[in-house]
Amino acid sequence: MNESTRRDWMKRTAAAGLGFGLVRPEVAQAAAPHKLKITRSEAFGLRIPFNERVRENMLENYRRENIERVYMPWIMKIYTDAGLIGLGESEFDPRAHLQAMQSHDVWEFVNDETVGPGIMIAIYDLVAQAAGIPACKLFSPEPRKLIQPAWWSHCLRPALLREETKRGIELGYTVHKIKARPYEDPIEQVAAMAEVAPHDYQIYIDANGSFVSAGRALAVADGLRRYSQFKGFEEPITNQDLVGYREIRKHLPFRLAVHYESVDHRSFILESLNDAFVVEDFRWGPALAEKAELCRLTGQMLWVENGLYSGISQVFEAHQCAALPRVEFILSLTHIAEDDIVVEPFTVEKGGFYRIPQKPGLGITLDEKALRKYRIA
Amino acid sequence: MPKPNRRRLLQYMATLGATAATPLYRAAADSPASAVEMRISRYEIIPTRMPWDERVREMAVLNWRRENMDVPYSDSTIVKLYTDDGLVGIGDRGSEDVLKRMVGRSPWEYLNSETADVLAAILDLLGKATGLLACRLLAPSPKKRIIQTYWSLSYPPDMIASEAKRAASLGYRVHKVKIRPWEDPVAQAHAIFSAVPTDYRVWGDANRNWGSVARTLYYATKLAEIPGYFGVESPVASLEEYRQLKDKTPLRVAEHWGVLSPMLVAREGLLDALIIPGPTRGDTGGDSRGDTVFGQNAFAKMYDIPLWDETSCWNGIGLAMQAHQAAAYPGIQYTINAAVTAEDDLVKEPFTMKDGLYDIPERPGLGVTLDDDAVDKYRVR
Repeated sequence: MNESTRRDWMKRTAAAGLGFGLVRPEVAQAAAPHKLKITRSEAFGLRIPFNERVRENMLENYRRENIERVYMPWIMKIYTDAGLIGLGESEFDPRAHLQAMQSHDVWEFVNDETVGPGIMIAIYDLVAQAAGIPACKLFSPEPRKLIQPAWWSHCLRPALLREETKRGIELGYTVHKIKARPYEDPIEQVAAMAEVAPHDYQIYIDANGSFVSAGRALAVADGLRRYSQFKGFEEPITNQDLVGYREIRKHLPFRLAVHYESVDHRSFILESLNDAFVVEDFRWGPALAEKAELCRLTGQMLWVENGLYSGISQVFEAHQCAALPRVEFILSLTHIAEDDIVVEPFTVEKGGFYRIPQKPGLGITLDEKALRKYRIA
Repeated sequence: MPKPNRRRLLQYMATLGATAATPLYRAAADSPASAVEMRISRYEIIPTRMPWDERVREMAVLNWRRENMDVPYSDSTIVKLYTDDGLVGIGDRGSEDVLKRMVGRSPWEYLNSETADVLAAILDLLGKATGLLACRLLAPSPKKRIIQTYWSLSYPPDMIASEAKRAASLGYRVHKVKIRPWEDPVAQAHAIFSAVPTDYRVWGDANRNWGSVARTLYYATKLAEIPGYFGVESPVASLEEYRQLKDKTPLRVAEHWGVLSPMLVAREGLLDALIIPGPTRGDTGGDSRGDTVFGQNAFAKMYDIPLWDETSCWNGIGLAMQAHQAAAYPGIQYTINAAVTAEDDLVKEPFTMKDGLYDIPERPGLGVTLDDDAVDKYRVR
């Protein structure tokens, strides 16, 4: 018997008297391009305070660095004529872009960075929902089911850092990145963490250049040798100090990571000066995939920190990174915020892994109550 | 009125008395959950065997025989991917194992996956589904035209001149010519440039036939004296020889991706271009396996080493795919057309060149139509 096709079925349905009041006209036009029109969009400016546990210490740190820092993400919703709603998150006000996208097809913006990172997330969410697949499958037919998120702390006082380490461990995390600053002793900090951390807990120190010289970085490293959980440095000295990095690489017995977008990554790759690139440029889709492909050729790992403020970018980060080669950790800051404005908890499973949601799209639900609570624009 | 959907439709049909046993109900149940929620429903793999075009046939066969190979035709595979909502995507490769696993899945899952080796058919399918060009699915601002290169085996001077003249008249301005021991590349080059406009350019592909650094430098020096002769591909075989050649030859030196470690190439500045070959011809194996054109493009951009693309050069579908790829990826400088030596390219639209450039088709997907009569004629039964 010939295979029953949709078209055959449509013909028979029409013959049976089932009109297009029931079946949408575009379904009958199978060979014509499918439409998924953007009908409207909304953007919400939020202000989310630091979590009470760390708030006072973090605010003090930022005062010491003479910067004001609060989490002010923009959350957006993109509505379509099919009733689908895509969620996105951005650092910047997306309203001008959203306005320009009105009445356009969602497809026009697939893999299009020019719309900005937040809208890109919403577009991927919509395409994946429309296709009935989890967002990770837009980047690979066989994405990993689990991905390793890292716990994060600013340069907290040792006692508080010990408590944060305990909390991270209780929640299931096995990787922890902390900031190093001149006002705390990184060796004391790691000592406090090591008191409560199991042997396979990985601690990384991000100095953001504050060790200043190769000599100081190597001296700190020397003091950290006794803590088996300490695994490496991120940006120990300023990004431009290639000579210093060569010196560090020659003598450092730990792993070394630098920011992909801040260093001359061409030279770092050619000279094999680092083990990992940190990605924090909020560029999704092909731009992130390109770095992963490049690292597959060159041997470095990626630590992706594109998801920062809410559960939306955090979960999208998990989706795309689960589909890419060479991604070792993902990182987000939602756990030091008062709320991630997503209904589903970001649960870390045994071994330190997050399980990628398998529902179509991002697979998460916006917490409307939290959205209203933190909305300022 | 509530929005109609598959579930509602099935419920409604049940009220009409249709049961799971009736063909109408079964067809409805098999229909997609929504128009955009399409799934790959089946596939066809059509092996084809294409003779050389009559004008070059005798000499092409002789070329291969001289290399102890019997190649009276080129084999290529055509793939058709069908969706449950009536779309068909065409591609120029795909293995049974991979295609079988794709049935029941969304084509969107394969948009950013080259490793499955079915990207051409996927881009064609998704382009048709969304109304977008294949290159636009790969990049937001693709080029509108690309440089395509004419391709010839190693023919006697009068014949290679005739081929070059033909290429120029068809609009080509770059020509890749095989270099073999039975013909003098310098005589070939002089014959070519006597027959073409002054903006015509040629590179030779020695496929290691020069064999040594000394011989490469001997020929490269002579060929570089001919204006328009600009490069040589695969002149030698080993890393050490490429190190010796560095900065000594006046021609641009190209080698296949993966023959030398890409990182060594970048670190030591050994090559001026990298050939990206398809899996069926010129696959060098080793560390090139699993590398994607997407990743190769990233590498090429970072280290300013252009790619010369012959990933799919044996029929019109592959040529269209190469063109879209080159339009989307700025690291690709040239695409190569070996189908100019074939009796047919299996697509309806002519591959029209003008002033050395090919305009990317403006129709959704790959923008070419499979010539079913031709496919039927050349399919392997």
